[in-house]
Amino acid sequence: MRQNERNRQSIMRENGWIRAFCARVVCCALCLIVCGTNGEASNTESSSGTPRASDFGVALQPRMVKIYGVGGFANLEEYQSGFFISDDGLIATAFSTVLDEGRARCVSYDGARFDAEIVGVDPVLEIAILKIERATPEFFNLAQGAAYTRGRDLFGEKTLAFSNLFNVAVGNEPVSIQEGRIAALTTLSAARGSKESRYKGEIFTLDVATNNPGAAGGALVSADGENLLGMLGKELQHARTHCWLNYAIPSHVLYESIQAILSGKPATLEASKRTRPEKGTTLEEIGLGLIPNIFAKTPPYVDWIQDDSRCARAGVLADDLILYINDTLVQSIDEVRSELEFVDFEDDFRLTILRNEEIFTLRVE
Amino acid sequence: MKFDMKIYTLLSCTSWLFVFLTLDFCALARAESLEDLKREESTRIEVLERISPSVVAIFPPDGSGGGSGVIISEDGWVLTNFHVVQPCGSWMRCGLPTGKVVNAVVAGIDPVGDVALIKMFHANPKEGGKFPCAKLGDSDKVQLGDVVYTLGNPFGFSDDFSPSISQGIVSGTHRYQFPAGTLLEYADCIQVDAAVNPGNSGGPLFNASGEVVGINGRCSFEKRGRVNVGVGYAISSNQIAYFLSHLKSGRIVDHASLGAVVSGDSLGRPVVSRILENSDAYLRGLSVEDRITYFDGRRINTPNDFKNVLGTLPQGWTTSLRFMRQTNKNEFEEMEIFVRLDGVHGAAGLVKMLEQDFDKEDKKGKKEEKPRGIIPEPMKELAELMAQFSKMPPELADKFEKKSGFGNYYFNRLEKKRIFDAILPTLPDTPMVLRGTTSTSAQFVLEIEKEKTEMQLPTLTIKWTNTGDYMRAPEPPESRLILPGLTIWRQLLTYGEKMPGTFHYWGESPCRGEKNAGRVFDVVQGNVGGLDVRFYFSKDPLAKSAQILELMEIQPIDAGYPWEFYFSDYRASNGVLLPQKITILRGEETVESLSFSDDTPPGEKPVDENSAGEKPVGQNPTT
Repeated sequence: MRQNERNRQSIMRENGWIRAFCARVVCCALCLIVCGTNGEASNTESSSGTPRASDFGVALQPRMVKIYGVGGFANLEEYQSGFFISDDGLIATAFSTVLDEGRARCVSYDGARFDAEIVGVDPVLEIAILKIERATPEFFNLAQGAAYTRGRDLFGEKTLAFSNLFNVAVGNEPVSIQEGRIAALTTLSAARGSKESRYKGEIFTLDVATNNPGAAGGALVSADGENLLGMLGKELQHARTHCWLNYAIPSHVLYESIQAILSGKPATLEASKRTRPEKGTTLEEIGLGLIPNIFAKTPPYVDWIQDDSRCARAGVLADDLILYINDTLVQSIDEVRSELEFVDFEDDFRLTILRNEEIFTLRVE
Repeated sequence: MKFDMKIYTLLSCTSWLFVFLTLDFCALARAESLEDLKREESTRIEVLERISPSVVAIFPPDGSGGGSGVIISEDGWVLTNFHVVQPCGSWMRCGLPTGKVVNAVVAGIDPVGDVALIKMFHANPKEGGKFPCAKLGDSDKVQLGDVVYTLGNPFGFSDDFSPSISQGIVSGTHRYQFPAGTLLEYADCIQVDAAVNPGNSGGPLFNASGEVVGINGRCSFEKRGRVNVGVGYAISSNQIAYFLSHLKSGRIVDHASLGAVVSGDSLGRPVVSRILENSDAYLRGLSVEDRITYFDGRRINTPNDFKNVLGTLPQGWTTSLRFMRQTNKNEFEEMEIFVRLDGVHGAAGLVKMLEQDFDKEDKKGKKEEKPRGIIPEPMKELAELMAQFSKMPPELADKFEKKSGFGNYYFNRLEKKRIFDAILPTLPDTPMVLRGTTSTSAQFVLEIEKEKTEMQLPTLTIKWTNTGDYMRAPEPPESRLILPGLTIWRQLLTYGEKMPGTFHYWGESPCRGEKNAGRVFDVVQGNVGGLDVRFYFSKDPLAKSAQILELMEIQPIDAGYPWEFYFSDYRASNGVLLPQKITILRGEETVESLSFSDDTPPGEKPVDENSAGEKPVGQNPTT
């Protein structure tokens, strides 16, 4: 918990951006004055005077992470992208099957490899926060990015997408960069295969093909390299047209979600520190039958409900997928069983379930 | 209070001045930015207008399918992909942006690197004129984020052959893409987000200045079908520059192999995990567990770095390799060797693979061929027209020669003739007699004839009779190939192209030695009586058209060290230019160094001809 609080504070510290921004405005104005007297010189490096991708394409690479985990068969890639969001090793990335083991192998720009643990996830936004034990002085300032994207009309904004699409870059090779523009600020009405996506909120659609294997979790950056505009989304097709969507989740949406993750109770780190009640809860006692547990990570789908049981009264139905028990993410049947052991058999608790692509929170009394 | 008001007024005025100045400069900056954009646009238009005429659409003779290409010389050399040329066969049609169609014939092909060189010929050379061409740039200068243009004929859109243009940025440099199947390896390639689609293959990747920095040829597609998803790859122009002379030789060229497997250690560093004992690298001293640090002058940090460099070099390329070797527990020694790289597939292996591919295509084609039956009259006319259309046009008829191991032997014959015609000197077909001293200052007389070679030393005479089998050489081993090598040298100088053995022009390649760093030589490679022979020629600094032999490598075809004969200190004597020194190396060891006295012209018998006693071959070393 203390660790999360530190993380949260680390992000919150970025709220000092207002001061920094003011300072920057003053500096920029002064620079303009200075440059105005020597305008020819300022245009020697770049003919338009505006920064180009080649100016900072390499400079931003230390903020990027190549992430490797579970997958590597059928159409499930075992790789994706991510980026640092704090100086103490926090990584923002997409929440996907790559992270199914609860940890991942991260490769930084210099080829160094690190094991990362999942700090927390947002199952609706489908983003995850990982952490490596390493100082990361180069990171994207999420608060600054959120301030830049919130409420601003960024239609037509020139962008650069950084990601390890197709796992083209390995080891110390720089991740790929693609240039494009924000085509629209809209809401996500997309589908993965035949299922609708859970997140239906704000997104930037892009005019560049960022929707590629391994690109999810990559960084969308303003063309001047100054601001993080968002995170590249997962591979999705439009629900009606079935066109593949090139989109990013805006920074201000990310910022709120990540703050919530870091101030919440991510079970993956905290479970071991909690105390068990004298008598916990079991699946049998609450009348909940799950599908046969045949894999190491069998997803906790409900198979049957005992009539007039606590779960039946709460409204749990067969085929529901259990996402959370209270505030703890559960990703397998084993995790459901072990998490219930922390719930006193006499206490009420909340079950967050996924049913027909909609998320419900039910109270088991 | 008054004081406070003054300060307040001063501050207020200053603030307003500051605001006005800021607004003023912002407006100025916007205006400059607009001007810059206009200037950028006009520059872009100028560059695209300049480079577009050099881009061609390439079609098989029957007009089906096709790809793109770029003209790189005024006399019609065109670069494209191997996989564009492969379905075309020996000749193809090139659509120029002017709408004109010019026929071209295949020259050299690089099936591993997916590059092909073809040459266009005007139907009427007198009316054709020069072709508009593009300049090859330095792909090592390409940086992440650079603006690039892809030009070509995607999806066969363009009926008038004017190229489609797409602008993008460089998404990645020094990328390595594993071979597709057994061929088509993209090493050290450039990744771009400019659109590369089917039909763009073989087309050029231009930098913002309009120089060709790559040849587009590959994309990552996966589940979206065969359309661009913002990830295209171009073969780097520097790789092509290495191969260009090899492709002009009309050969089927192979890529380099070190003869060793380089893998990542626990820290991901490139370490030799396996090595062939008959590889040149092993013979020069590389062994298992050595960690590669530099290769061909480039820093190597990962196995991918190594593959990127290796994949861009042609077979037979000689270059430097630096590595760290652990000598004690915590002690490492950095070593440097020069290695001549072998081929990935070997000449015969590559030809066999290609023939198998062609066989598959043929069989596939036969299966799909529909029974003809009776052809309706209009269709018959069309079939006749198509047959006529697919017939090699007259301007190409004498410019294609089929030969195993070559894309088109016609061009090799031209290049070989160019070299042999320029060799200096050409000696009369009389015994060649040379006198001088060995490295131990022993005087010798060397007499090289067609049938025998004899070396007289103060205490012994060594003889070798030329039966055509150069592997039967005098003993002991350290002198084995000296006399046969000198015989081959004399045959080159005397008979030129008609010398015994089979030879072909190889291309330009560097040779061993620090003093030769950065130099490339015209290489003629061949087989003489069981020996693999390579001649390295440089251009005579005085007469540019003349070729001077600087190095001769001979090597038993199976294995073993190459013997290297370095010819230096060329001097004109009695109207003939000859080296005054021959240094002979076997592996890393200097076997002998012969210095000639320049007062004996070739062909004149030495005065002390019978002074040395004759000794049977194979009893004593030469020195």
